[in-house]
Amino acid sequence: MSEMQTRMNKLLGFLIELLDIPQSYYERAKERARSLEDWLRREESMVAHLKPDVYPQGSFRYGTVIRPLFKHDEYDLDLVCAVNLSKSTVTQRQVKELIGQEIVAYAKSYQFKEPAKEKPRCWRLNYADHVSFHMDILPAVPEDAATIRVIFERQVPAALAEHAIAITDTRHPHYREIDPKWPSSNPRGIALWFEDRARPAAQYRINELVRCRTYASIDEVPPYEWKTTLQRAIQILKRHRDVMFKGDRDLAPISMIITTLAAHAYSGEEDLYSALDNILTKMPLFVRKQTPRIPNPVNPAEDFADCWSRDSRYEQNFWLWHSQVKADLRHLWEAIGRKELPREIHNQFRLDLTTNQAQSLEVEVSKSTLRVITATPVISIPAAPKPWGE
Amino acid sequence: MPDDFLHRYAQWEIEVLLQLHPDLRLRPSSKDVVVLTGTIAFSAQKPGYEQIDDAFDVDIKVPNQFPQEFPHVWEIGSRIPPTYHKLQDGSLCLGSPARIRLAIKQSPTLVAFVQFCVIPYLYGFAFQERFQTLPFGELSHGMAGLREDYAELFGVEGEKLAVEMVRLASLHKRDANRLPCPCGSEKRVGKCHNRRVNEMRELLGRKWLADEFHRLSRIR
Repeated sequence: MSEMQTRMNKLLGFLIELLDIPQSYYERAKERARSLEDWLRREESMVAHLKPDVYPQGSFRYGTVIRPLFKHDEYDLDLVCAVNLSKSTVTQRQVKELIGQEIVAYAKSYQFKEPAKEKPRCWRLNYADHVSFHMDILPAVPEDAATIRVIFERQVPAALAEHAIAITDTRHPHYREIDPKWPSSNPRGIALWFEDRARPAAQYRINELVRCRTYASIDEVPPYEWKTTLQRAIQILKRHRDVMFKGDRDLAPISMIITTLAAHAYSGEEDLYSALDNILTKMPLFVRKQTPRIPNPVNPAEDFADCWSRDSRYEQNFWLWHSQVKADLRHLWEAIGRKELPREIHNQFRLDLTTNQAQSLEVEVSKSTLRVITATPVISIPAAPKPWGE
Repeated sequence: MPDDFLHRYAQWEIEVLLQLHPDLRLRPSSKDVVVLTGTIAFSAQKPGYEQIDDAFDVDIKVPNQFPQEFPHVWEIGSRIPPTYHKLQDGSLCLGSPARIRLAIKQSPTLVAFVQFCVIPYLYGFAFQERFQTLPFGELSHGMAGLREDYAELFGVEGEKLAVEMVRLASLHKRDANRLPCPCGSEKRVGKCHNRRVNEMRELLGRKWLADEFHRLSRIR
């Protein structure tokens, strides 16, 4: 690795220190899932006999959570709450309300500031401790065998397809009827797919954590402990996205798209800079020209970019972001060791290096040979349009 | 697929532009345009004139139809007064539409647009701030300026003749060549001013020139 690349990795590592959340937040997220699951399984619970299964999905599961851009923003913890009922005997509404009653009681019993709120697909609980979290709980039942077979026939490995779940949506035309067509999802399957992409790079760390007896076995090491360059790269990319779209959040590329494309493009690069560079270069290869443009890897009929065909601005903004973040990575590289660096970091990530971090980078830079700073070349203009006016 | 953004932005050389002008940043876009905001810093020189190192804060709006349609540029640092060369929407009037079209035709990228249209304008303004003279001259405002410009483009004397040349260039080649040359030589266009007329027809396009001719003849 070149000296420049070493310094770049050091800088990216510092950014991760500033962006990453304390590990205790992941642990707290897990505890909250467990606490809710315990509640649902207690003796008096109406769903205790349905083997409720509560687990995190999304960035808390992948280990790619970042600090919110604004202090008053909250962390979203997305949980799945699956109960063992069959689509053939219950309606979406029955499942939503059955689980809902228990969640409402949970909020009351644990003295949440606000009661549980119903959203079209989930129940929302607001925690009010010093870290502001809200928890979106997605009621679900296992997907039926026929649906899983269809997914399996689309070349999805059975071990991933079998985790498919059916979820509820108050806006669904058959919300109140017994009907086989529920919205389908597979958060556990996607997580397993993602973890397969990340695991080779995590193996060393996983083994170390078991050797030091932090965990009893390799299966117990949660993905947020892996800290692979894939997860780190996604954190950097999400932050860049958050800053670029801070005034236009609706237009921002969604995390699911960034995460999926990054996981596809990743090839186990050992250092964060190479991972980012490779991901940004290869990302476009995984956007298909036809729909589904960005298929869900565990259900190829589902398109993570389905909104692109509805409104081309979403696609446009994805590519604008991609162009900008690619250029910015290069700008960062060029700014190291120069006075522009703090401004560059601020513009791109709204972050400021700590004094220690900045000093440590400077030591690194001064150790190396002086960089030749090239001045902007002078543009020669022999002829030009004459200015005009209407 | 109707919109291949990746391909389009590659053709525009957006990434090269961001590379060359690190203080220019893409903004989220809620319309059919690409918006770049930030600073254009440059060192430029007309041979034999002073070199100028300067920087301007700008907004650049690039229509999705670029290079068929031109980008518009606003100076947002309040340095260039409204009385200097600006369009009605406050954007910089970088040059006559024909000159901008020629420049973009020659190399249809944003990099070239900034280098050949924007930076020369900013250089010219900054030069005038320092030395009270414009290094490339200027056109009169309004239609008179356009006619002066066409006179120069077609290499003819007089605005009336310039407008006639625009009309000739807006006709099919064979039709134009048969007509008597408006320069007064009493020869057919085909035997007289045909070279420049053909060249402009080819570069600017017959239909575009027809619109220009209508514009020029509407307001005298």
